[in-house]
Amino acid sequence: MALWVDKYRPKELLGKDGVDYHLEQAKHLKFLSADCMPHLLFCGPSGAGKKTRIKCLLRELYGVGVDKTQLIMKAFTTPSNRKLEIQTVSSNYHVEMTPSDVGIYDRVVVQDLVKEMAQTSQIEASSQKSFKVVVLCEADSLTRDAQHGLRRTMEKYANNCKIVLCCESLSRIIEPLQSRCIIINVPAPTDVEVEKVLRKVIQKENLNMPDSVLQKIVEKSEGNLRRAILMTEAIKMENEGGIPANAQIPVPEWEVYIQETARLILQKQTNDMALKVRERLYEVISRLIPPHVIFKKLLEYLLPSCPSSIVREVVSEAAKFEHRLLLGQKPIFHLEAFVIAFMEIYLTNASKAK
Amino acid sequence: MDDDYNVLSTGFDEDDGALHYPDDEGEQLAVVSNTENQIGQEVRNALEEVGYGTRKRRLNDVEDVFDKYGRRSHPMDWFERSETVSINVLQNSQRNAAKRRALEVLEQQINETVVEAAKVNVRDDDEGERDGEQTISSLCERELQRRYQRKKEIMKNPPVDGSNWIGLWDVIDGKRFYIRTFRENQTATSLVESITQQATRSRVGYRAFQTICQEAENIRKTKEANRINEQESEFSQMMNESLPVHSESSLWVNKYEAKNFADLLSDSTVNRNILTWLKMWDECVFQRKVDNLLASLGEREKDVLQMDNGKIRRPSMKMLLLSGPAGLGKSTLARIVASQAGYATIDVNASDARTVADLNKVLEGAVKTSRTLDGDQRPACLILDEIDGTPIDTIRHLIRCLQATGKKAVRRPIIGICNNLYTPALRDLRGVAWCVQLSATKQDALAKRLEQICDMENLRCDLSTLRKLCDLCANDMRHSINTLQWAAVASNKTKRSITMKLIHEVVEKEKGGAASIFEHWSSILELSKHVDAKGGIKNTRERVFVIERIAAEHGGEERFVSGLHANYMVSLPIGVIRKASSWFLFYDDMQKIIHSLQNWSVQKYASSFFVSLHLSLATHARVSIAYPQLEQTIYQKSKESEETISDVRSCGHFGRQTQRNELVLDILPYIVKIAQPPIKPMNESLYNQRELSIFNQTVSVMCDYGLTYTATMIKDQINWLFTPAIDVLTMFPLEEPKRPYLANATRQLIAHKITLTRVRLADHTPQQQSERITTNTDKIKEIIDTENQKKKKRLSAGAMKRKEQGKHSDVIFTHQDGDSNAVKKKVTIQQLNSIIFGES
Repeated sequence: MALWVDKYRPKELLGKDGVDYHLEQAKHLKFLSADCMPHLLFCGPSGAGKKTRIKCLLRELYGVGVDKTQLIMKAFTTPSNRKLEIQTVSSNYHVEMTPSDVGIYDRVVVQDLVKEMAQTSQIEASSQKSFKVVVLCEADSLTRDAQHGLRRTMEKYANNCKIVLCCESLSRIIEPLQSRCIIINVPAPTDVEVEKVLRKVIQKENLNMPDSVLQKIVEKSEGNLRRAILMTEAIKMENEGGIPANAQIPVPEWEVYIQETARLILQKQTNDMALKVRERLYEVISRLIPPHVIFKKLLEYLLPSCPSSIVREVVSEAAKFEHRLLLGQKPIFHLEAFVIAFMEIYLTNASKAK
Repeated sequence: MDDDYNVLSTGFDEDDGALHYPDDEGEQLAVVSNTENQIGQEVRNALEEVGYGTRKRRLNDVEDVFDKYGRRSHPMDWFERSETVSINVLQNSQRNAAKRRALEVLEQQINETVVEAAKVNVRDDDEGERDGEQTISSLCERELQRRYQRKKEIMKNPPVDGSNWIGLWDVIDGKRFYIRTFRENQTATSLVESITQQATRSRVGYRAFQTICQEAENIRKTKEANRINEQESEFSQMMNESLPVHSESSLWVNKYEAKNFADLLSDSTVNRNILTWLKMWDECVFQRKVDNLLASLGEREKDVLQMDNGKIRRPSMKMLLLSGPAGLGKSTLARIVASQAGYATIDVNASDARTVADLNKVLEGAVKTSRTLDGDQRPACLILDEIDGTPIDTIRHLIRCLQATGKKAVRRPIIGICNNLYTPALRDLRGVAWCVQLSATKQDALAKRLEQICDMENLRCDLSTLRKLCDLCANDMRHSINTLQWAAVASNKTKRSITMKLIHEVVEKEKGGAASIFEHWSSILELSKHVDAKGGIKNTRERVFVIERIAAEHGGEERFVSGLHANYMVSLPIGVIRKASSWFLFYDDMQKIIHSLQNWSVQKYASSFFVSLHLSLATHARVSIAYPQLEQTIYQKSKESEETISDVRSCGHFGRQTQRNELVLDILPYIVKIAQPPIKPMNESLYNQRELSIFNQTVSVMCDYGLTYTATMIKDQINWLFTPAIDVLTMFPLEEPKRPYLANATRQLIAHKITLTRVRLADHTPQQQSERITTNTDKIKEIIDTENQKKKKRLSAGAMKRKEQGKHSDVIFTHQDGDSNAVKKKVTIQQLNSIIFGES
């Protein structure tokens, strides 16, 4: 009775509980697991099913034992003698962690913890495989240093330890790492596939959902299956007495908030408004929404209201500022710079039109 | 003619003249004379010095006294010192120094012969009557008297503190002045030596001749050496003839440092309170009752200054923490108050290593032991200067020491000094120590003190200029005195008196004054801060110069840039703002390089950021500068958010497998909705099948992600809120929020259920359990079952034990179990005893 997202998560690669789409890929994965597994690099957008596939693969490798996980806080010391902790989830066979949780100290995590784990061999070598697996999530937010730190570890201890990287975009993984891994691209499911999965869930839950609402959910989810299922559940919870055909699809509040912010920007292009927008941006940042997501959403909501003549410039500005954001460290500077740049472009265009 | 010196009656005990020999221990016999036909008188003087001839005292130490008067004065009448007389005298004496030396050699030679004669005389004249008196103690007395009467100081008026004085007429311009006599601290050894020598002489008599000869020879030698030195120094002085008399090597800050309690410029109430606190240690340190002192305290002081009631009574606050801006005289205050209260100070400052071990050593040596074995008999008082730079470990150790009692207790006062009381390192110490924040020196007092210094240094300067100087230095005592000295040097070089302009010049040269961060912000954003003397705006070059200086001062300061960012949206066209905003990106990039690569070489480009910001943004309009508070609060908020997320990730079974971004972006916003289903608050058993399933679904979801509701008091009302606070994390201040809201009663119900489920989670694996929970009654049954099982286990274990001991009983007894499984049966106490403890 968990969240439907967790409840209906596929438990194996192929078979009755198997994954619902990318079946060809699942076959390959099964094939890989049967043979000696290489290092893997999963990439694909959020909600496409990367983690699900990794879980399935692990289960394929080691059996249900991987489900018995425990949370361990691993302590390590940075060169500047700061003591930090990182949260790891581990079973007897694998360890899962997100080195980017500790920010710029991920290099130390890679150099110390991962290496240490790679050096020790599998405890129950007789029972299953001769290697264990280290899953590194959010690999694209690893710093350059950390990625370079992985290179030699991956080569040297390849017999002992296989590394599975999980990221959204390949572009921020350095070439040497890419070449050491088999890259498994997990594209977002198509609308048809999302609909298929949703129908399966609805059927299992004995839910009456009008087709129109279902279509809306599929549309709004934009290929994010996790969100699609969460939306379905939220709708069901909200509309206790049966779902009407015109039910509102619940959207996360942070998106609504950014939408409102975009509306404010379009409303008035003055310094006072920029200050107001700054406050709102701060608010969003403080709720830990990643700045690049804010950028994306903001642009998404701003663009439809732009005259076609300025679209090109706006997009190029957004790209420029997002790039600088990744180079810099204070998101508010970049977000605000974009907002002000947009205001100016919008304003000059409006005055020209007159 | 006796014009060159005055011969006056000393009015002292004349006994000391009897066995005088030439002045001792390198003390110069400076003679005030400016003509050459003085030899005869010099000889006479010399004779007087050895106690021969007329019993009169001569003004011989003028030069010496003048040099040192600043240090030997009483605080109350130091301003009465004359300088006009002395300078003339001094100059004369300097000019004739060489001549005098020659005379002195002669004098020595005469001395030798005279002493020989004197010895005979003494034996002839005095031996009979004196013999009885020549004890060591009487010698000692006389020697002491002689020594203590020798130091003098020249004043215009008689001293007011009741010390001894001699009136004199000035030789040159006929003014009357007064010489005060002083006690001088001599080392004990030389005193003893000279007494022994005297004793030997008076006792042995004839043999003393050789001693005296030797002594005379010694003195001659030292004089010779001194003469050579003097000649050299005189030569060098002649080389630098242009240099003024008061261009001294010592800093005025040290020279005019407060010398005793009355000299202090800080608030006298505070001074007195601090002194009181130190006196409160008397009971522990000097075994002196302090009840009188405590009784005399005012109401306000009584709150802070209390005695604890340990075995050795000490003040309840074991440490004093002085804080205040730089140059206030905190260190001086601490030193003076400590010595006023009778302590020897031990100073530990930032220049010493301050690890825990070092501190321990100091504490052991100074504060914890009660006796000191060294020459200084006074007990020690530890002064921890510049304490705000101390590592936090050391501070913690210090706190532990302060709180220790019994044998390890601190037995001496400790004074800590810091600039900023609110340094994070001192947070814990603040609770333990008595914190005194010194306010800035009063400008009047400071200006007056500066004026006095000017008088003493013979500088011309009016009070208003000095006031301005105080202003410029932000009433920083040390800074203002330094500046004054600096200005004095400048004024002497340029032969000008100290004027406003000169002060300005000097201060400008030194530093741009202590402008506040707000002023710097506005000088970047406003043109009106760059006005020149004529009221026009300075040209770009000059402005850039100023901005660069500000940039240098605030280089890597996060706060400064934050402040600029908070205030840079001035009323300019958005295009200009756009340009400025892109400069912030530049700065951000640079900071990233510096911080991530530790590559500080790019720091030098920081000034270009400030300069271009100024050039593009500065206007004539007034910018109301606000402190960047928003950023601070946002920082706090994101810290809280992070905590919430890590709570979620560390509690729930599923939460831990999910990444941060997934949680924030997708899962949590929906969970907030899913966890608040529209169910009515009523008893669980009254729900219908569908409601129940929703209810259970909610409970299990919240369990999976480690969420629950907890009761919190908000405005005298109990509210059940999410813990961890995911609603705070995911809910935004929307214009028209459309959120589900769950009644408190329902929340309470859910929370209760969650607790129950969690208890069972500890017993079962999640898989088993999630399949089993279907209805409420099942659940209750299950709970009862497990409870029963547990109980049985426990009981059977107990029964086994009893079996082992060969006893058996059919009575079940439980204790505070809240369960009615026990069987009631009438039992006497005796029986019960035998059941429990076995038949005895």
